[in-house]
Amino acid sequence: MSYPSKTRLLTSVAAILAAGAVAHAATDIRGAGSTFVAPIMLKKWIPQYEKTHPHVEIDYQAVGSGTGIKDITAQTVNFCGSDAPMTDSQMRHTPTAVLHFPEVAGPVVMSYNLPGVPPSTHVHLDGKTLANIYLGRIRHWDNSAIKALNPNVTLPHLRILVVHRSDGSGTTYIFTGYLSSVSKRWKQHVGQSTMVRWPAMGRGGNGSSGVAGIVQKTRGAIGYVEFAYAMDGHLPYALMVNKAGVPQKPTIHGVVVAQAALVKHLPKDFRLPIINPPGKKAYPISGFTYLIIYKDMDYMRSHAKALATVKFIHWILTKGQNYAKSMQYARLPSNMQKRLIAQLKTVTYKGQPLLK
Amino acid sequence: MPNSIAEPPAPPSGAAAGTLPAPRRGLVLGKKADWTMHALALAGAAAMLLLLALLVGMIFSQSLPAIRRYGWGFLVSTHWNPVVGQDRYGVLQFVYGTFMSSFLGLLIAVPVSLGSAIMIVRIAPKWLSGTVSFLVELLAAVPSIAYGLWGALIMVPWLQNHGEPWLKAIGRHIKLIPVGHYRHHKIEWFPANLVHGGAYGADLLAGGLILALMITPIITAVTRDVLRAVPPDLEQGAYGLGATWWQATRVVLGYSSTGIYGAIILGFARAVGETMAIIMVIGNSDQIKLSLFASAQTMAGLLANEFTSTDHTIYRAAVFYVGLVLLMSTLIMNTLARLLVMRVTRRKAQASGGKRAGRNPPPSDGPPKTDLGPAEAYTA
Repeated sequence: MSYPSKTRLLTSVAAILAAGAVAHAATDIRGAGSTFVAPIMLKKWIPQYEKTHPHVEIDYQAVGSGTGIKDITAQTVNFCGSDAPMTDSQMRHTPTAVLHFPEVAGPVVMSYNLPGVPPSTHVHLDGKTLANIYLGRIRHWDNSAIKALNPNVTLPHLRILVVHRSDGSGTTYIFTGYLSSVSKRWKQHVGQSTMVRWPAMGRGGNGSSGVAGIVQKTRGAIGYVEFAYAMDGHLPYALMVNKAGVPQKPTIHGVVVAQAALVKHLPKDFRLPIINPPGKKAYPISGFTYLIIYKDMDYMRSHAKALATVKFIHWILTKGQNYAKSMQYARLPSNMQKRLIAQLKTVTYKGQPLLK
Repeated sequence: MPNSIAEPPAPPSGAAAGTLPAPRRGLVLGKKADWTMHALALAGAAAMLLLLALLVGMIFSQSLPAIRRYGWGFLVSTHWNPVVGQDRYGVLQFVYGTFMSSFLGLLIAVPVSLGSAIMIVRIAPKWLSGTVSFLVELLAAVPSIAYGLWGALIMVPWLQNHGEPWLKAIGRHIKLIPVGHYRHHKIEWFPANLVHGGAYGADLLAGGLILALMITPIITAVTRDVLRAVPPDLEQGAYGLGATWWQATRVVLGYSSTGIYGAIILGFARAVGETMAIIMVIGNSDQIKLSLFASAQTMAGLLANEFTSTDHTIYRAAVFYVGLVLLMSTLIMNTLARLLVMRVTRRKAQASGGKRAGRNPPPSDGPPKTDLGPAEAYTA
């Protein structure tokens, strides 16, 4: 009785091992990091790329930008996704030089809950007012600063409840970056980070859905969320006055315009968020999400793996961009794409460039 | 197989020779089995200890940079700022949030749990107690995220629109003790200050309520089992002496108090360690404000919220330090509880022994003492 089952067991073990060996014949690439980019990465880029490149297997773990940066620093992954570019001090801790590749961008939307103000009437806000709200210096919706920006709206005398992310987030990085750029006080007392010490006591929501949930259910609340959440949740959102003084709706197009305006100001290593760009049609609060890889890929100890990684990133920067709009991201402007591909060509394995 | 078991009583040849080998083989095997099981059990116990040691050691070593930089000051500072360049870390507000919300949870859960356990064991007819018992166990098995979702989507809006305005309308007029001043020199009264601030729903009160909801089934289930383990003689004896129902119940509760303390501690430990549900309702802001309507943050919540964003060494170490503080505070709490239970047990044993001897004539003194024996052994 027991012998046949043992044989069967052995056969099945052998079969599993064989299957494993077959799977290992394919090149597998590992990535980790940003949750902001996870929807397009996991739903579009990886499945579409694997469909056309059957010998490549890609595993991306959305563990958060901070963990992604930790993993790429420890060289335990092949690429890292991060909503914030690495800081100078972080870059000093990597074994060899790293490169940043902006992949897509998205607007950060200010949504609010104001009973009595119809959703079609978008409240207008500018940077200074927004910073003062988040600093706790403007406490009520009928404050004169907000009134001045909205002469045609009857604002209720209602306490403002400031809502922010309770978890570390690239969205917070973009948002606090914007506030730092428009308010000296914010820059001095709070600063820009994925996690800050909030000066005005409000409420923290876990994830964009947490923030959207609190805003939706609390009278007088204001919060920042990613574009998709504001659209999906049908939350009322504010028009942000841009650098040119024009109130702008958060749209993908507004971000594309913002990017295009900033391309010529971009530094060589691309480590600059698109914050408060010039241009009448630009939406002021938006940011890139980045892919980070090593310039020298010797640590992977496999030419095939290094080549597959570089080719996957090349595909994201070119064909992959076509999936951006349907997933609520803004695609890269073409002049920036060219610069990024030029940068990708500098990646080497054993001193030889991987792409020609 | 059945044959070999049936055979030994009727050996085919040589009664002594037939019976001896079988037990001996069994004995040898038994010894080997003894030894093997002994070793396995030891290894299991050692693995547990090793695992705990590794866990504590790892958390400690990871938090060393923060321990070196902040030392004990970490425990009394309320400044938590992870922004590079201005970073500074302190844990006090999270300790406050953790213990305040858990304490609130206990405050609500303990009376409810004791009541329902007494109901299940001593009042309800069998069919009802069976149903309620089943429902309690069902509640204990609900994953915490489900409580969190319910809390965030239904309880918090209800608190915001109905519960808290109502509480505030009544509570703010109850002024018993002046405890300080607000801005503009307005006097802060207790307990009116407990309902100070905007009624937004996501706050300490919501945290306490959701924790109460989560620990009530556990405390109820354990208390129920403890009450059921009380020997019926004790209750019968109490009735025999002319006790009323409530007096008999008090005898039963007194007898099982150690177990009930244990149940409460279990509930408290779960409340302190609860993460996802509490994140969803407590508001997540780092402040110490003595009001039910103030938002707060717990240590476990902080770990879940910030661990993925620890992008520089000292930040990471500080988050690990919070983990260490959480671990140590549960350890201290459990030790204190153990000590308390031991003291209560000893005192109760002495007191009940003395009282009985003094009050009752010798014949009735015998049986209760034998009843108390195993309970003492169990609790010690």
